[in-house]
Amino acid sequence: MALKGRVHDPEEPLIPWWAAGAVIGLLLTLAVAIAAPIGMSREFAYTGGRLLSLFVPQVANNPYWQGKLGIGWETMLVLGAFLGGALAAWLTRKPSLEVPSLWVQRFGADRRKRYLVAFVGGFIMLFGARLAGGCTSGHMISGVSQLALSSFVFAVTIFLTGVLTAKALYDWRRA
Amino acid sequence: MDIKTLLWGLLIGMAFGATLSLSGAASYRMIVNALRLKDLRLLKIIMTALAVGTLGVTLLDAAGMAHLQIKPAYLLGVALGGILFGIGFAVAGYCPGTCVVAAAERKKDAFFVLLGGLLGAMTFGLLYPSVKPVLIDPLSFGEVRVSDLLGISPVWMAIAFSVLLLVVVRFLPDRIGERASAVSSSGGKKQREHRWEGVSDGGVGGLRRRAGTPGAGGRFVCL
Repeated sequence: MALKGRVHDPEEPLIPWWAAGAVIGLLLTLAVAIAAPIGMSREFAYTGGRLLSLFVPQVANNPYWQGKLGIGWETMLVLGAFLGGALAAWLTRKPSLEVPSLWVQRFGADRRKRYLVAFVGGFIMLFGARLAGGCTSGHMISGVSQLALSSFVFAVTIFLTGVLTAKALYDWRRA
Repeated sequence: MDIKTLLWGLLIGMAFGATLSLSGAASYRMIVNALRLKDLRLLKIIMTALAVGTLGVTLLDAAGMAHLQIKPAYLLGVALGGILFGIGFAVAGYCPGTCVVAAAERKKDAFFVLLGGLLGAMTFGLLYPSVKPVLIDPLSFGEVRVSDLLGISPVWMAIAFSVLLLVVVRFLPDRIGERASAVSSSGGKKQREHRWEGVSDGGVGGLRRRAGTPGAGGRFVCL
């Protein structure tokens, strides 16, 4: 943990990978024992639906949202993840960050550019997650842990396209 | 869902978010360098989580105590969604869970991933009635597990899979290529050494500092 008065790099770990992995695996086991696996992306769609239904009430009748807009297991998980992340960052005095270092090295320090790309990336990612029925948590961690065929297919495709995209952005046309 | 279960959800979510924060998984640099196959620590986190999780979940199920939710295998939608997800993941540099945690850590770009994500997920919800007959209903095989396909018991498959993952993780290096020797790995102890190149809150600039030196504005932002 960060020592008093010391500032640490917010892009680097404070605990080793094996400890993090073991804790996540145990949390998943606990979650499955209590109620359901861990998932994050469904809540994006439900929160989006809740917001939209404030302005367009008939949205609540869309088959995707019908009867599902109440507070559920995943609402609590996502809320908890935000609170847990904020608490950990506060306790370890993690500095805030405007633009990631790697991005600055490659694309410059213009933050509007990064924020626009982040927004577009988020849009594509969550659209894909809802189409596939899960994300890194729901499919890759929870789904593969349940040996679901669907999640193995998802894990392989996101790994392939993720690696290709990252390489195309950072490694193929060296500036 | 009763209030006790919901509170458990909140607690598990908090522990999950704190772990993602402490492990550095909510970091653009770690995620993108993982996808560039240069910094493998994130993959090692995921593989360790899978080794523990698969064994835990499967044993729990064998004991009849698991609340499983096997995702249905509608291969067209899952593969196409996975393709979009992979592209968006590399472009955003956070996944849905880590963008929530990174936003909580006050990483500003993660807020925009969060906003874009809300809109993207909402758009899918709106399009769902027309997407369903094309991408979700065809080639849909239901709740299939890989162990069913291979015709072996889930427990044996889980044991074999976990052992395989742990062996791979054991021999996988933390980093590959250029910076492998330059930057120390695993955990927090030896990281005081590396260089920070920061974009400060007040203005943008390529500040280069040594870790441990407070920034000009006190709250400086590093990379």
